[in-house]
Amino acid sequence: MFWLSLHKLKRSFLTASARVIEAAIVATIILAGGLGSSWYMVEAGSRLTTAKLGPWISWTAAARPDADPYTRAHFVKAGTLPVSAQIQRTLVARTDQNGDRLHSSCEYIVEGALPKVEWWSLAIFDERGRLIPNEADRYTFTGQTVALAHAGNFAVTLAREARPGNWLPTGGAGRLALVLNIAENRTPDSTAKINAAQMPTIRKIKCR
Amino acid sequence: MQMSTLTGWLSSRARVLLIAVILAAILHIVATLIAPRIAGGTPFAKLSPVAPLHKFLVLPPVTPQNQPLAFMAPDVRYAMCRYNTAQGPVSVSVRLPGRGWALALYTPEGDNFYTALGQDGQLTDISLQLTPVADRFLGLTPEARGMASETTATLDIATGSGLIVVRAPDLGLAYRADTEATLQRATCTPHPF
Repeated sequence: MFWLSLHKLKRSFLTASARVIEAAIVATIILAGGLGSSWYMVEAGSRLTTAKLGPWISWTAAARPDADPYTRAHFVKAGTLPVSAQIQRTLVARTDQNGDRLHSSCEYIVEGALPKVEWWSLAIFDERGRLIPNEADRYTFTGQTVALAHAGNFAVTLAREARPGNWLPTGGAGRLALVLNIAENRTPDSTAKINAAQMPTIRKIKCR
Repeated sequence: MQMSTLTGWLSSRARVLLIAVILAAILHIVATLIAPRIAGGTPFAKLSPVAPLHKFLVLPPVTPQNQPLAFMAPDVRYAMCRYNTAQGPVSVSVRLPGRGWALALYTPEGDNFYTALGQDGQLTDISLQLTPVADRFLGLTPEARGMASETTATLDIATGSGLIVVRAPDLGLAYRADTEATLQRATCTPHPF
């Protein structure tokens, strides 16, 4: 009699445990699948919402009245006030050409030519979008202020210490975000025509 | 053996898993849609204490010590006016002297619903009339009363509240006073009922 009761108790314990595990699995699917996928789509975007040109990423419907919910949530969450993607393209790079995170402990060179655009600017921020304090008060180069090399190419060095030529100080900011704003004569369907080969490259020179 | 156990478990719980996936999809949609509403530091909320109501404020040059929003372009000068059409229309007058200048209107959620750009080598004067969203009689226009309108090429835009931002390229110290003077001339005037 005693052994029978013990056996029943054991079976009901195992059944209850199985139900708890099932409930946990279902809850994980709901939370991870629902909240996790939403967080990812808002933070990183997808092919539906962003265009990836090498290390540069732009949200194709930024600040547009017909923007999708992911784009809207992304910019509200980021706390930024972007210019509409219809008139200006904003590209953000958080990695170099090899996919490694941009970091102030390393030195980089950003090279390229943007001959067909009306106006452009290249600015360096920390990963939260704050300007990096520096004694030179230098935070950006534009198509008008950058010193061009031969053939209209430009080269901007991102480094902690001063470098000759176009130097953007990175201080001790840690992870970096490089922002390229481009204003160009565009038709609404020209977005797809800009390809990665036309974008400036970001090469790591050395790290400390 | 373990694979067949897992397959058996999955097939016996197919309905539960399907419901879980549907609930996850619903949660995904709800979380994405309400994210802009529950995000604390929206640009509008951050700028509301800074940007005065119905008055343009010319912000000082963007520096690490003076950067109200993330990723603000340091090569741009900004003038901002917060508007609200609840008490009546708001008229906006802005001059865009050249390339790089831009006028942009934002909703509190950050949607840029109107933009005007400066053109290379010519002055562009913009006059806008922001009207309430609600359908109500706003009075007779100057033309209807036999008077000449004070503004030309006025564009009516139905909107509630939001932010007007004028962007000007910061061309350096030599141009700074001229740029600021042009930004100071921008007006954002309410016309109560």
